Amino acid sequence: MIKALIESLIEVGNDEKVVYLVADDKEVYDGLVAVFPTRTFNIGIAECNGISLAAGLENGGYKPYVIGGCTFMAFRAYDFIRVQMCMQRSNVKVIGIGAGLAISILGNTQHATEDLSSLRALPYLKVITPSTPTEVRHAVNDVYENSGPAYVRVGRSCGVDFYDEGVCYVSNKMQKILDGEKLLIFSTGSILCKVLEVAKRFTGEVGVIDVHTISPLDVESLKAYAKENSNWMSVEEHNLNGGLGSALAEAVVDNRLEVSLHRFGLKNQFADGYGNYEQIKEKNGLGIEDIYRECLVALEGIN
Amino acid sequence: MDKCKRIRRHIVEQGYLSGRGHISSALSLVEVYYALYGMNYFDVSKIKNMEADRDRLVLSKGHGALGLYATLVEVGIISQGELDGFATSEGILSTHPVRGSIPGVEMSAGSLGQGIGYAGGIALSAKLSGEDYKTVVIVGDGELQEGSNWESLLFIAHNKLDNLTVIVDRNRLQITGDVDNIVSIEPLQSKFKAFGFDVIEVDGHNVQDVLSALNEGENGCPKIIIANTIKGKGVSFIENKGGWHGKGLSKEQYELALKELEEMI
Repeated sequence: MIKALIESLIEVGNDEKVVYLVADDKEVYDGLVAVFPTRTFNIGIAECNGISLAAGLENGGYKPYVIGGCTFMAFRAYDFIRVQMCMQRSNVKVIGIGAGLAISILGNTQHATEDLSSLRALPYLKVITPSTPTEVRHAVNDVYENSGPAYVRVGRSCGVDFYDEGVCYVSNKMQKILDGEKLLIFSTGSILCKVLEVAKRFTGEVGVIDVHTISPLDVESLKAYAKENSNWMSVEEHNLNGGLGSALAEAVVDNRLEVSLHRFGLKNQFADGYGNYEQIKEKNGLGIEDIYRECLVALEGIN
Repeated sequence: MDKCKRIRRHIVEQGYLSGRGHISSALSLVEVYYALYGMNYFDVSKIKNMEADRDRLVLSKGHGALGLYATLVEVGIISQGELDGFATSEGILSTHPVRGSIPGVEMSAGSLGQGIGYAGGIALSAKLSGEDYKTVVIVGDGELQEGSNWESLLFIAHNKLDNLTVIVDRNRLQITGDVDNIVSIEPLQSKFKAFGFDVIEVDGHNVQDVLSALNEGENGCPKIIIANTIKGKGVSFIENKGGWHGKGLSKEQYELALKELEEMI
């Protein structure tokens, strides 16, 4: 995912107005400075200043990308994102590394499991969680092409790139990546591939929707899906307080959609314990078999 | 300076009409504003026309905005009519400046501690483009209690953004009292020097001194001007007194203030 991120950032860097501000991430910094030495800055461990610098660069006519850890960009620099990016409608892009539980072994200070809640609350901020390397490239291109403040949160690749099977990326639109007659699972980010794997076990009964962009939420697609299937589930590598499931629930209520929604994610907890990416998910009830069991519960509810 | 008296008159008038306005915070900056806009330091016409290579003031101390607006009227960047809309629901001028509202406002301010980094970004953009326009940021002394300022200063000094000038409105008062009794920022000069800045300390109510400090040559180091000022300068019952931070003026106070300004040399 990081390789795809670096390559796609380099591609948008053909625009001489693009400037990169990297908060001490070695791989990203080294990758960018090698190609654009005069437009890549290591801003150090200073996310708040990073956002301010970026907003100032934008005032001066540049297109800045600020790249740093998800948790530090989203939480420490929140007021700066709120005021300097969103209130000013600045064309500044924040790329967060470590969405969800991606930075598993370093403990929960590095887990971005509340940033969907907090960042999607901000008006005008586009929030994207790409799931695969191809989707990372699309997301970077999307935010480059569409002016305005944006936050792209990059987690781990789940190994399977469903874009190889002919899925299309459309800006601001969720995509169905698997058809299913009985249940539709909405998911986002790295966990999406595990959801896909589980859904395929139910051959034709369980469909999967990739909600790469949580804000703005594609309500028109939701209305269309509600007509074809009234049993929904959401799966997220994120706290249930305010994340993807909450966003869907808001849309269901606001649009009086006649669906039942079963939300699955971290239940008002941080992901505790030590482990690699798969182990941390399993320890905290987000492993693939947990998703499978939850699917059975959702399907049982229908039956 | 007659113009400074006029700027102060605008401040007290709007403070009376609107019943608010952070009058004391505006009054402490009048000579600084005038040195920037009224003495050919800034190219006023480029600012008025929002040209890409305009000089830029970042008012990080956003609550000093009324003084900025008053100055912009006096140098012809905005109109008296626009100023008269200050702090009204129909007007475009807010108690804290909003980017895009008028020429001369570069940043939406009000969350203290954001302006130095923002100005650093502007200065960096000028360096990248090879432009020589000026970037100035004004911060309050109480504002320097916010850590983010220092985070930004580290970057600016490290990257030698010598096309940036920081001005500290050292009026020594914040909402709850004397800055140095609350969380002291002294020794300020040596802190800034340790951070890699050239530091000049001036009487912030002497336009010529401020202007000389602004024009002092660049030697590769970015510059900080500590402007020693009096919060509420020009109106005796406000000068250096606590409790005035966000307040407006009553009719009696307004008339008394006007009288004092008339008598001011």
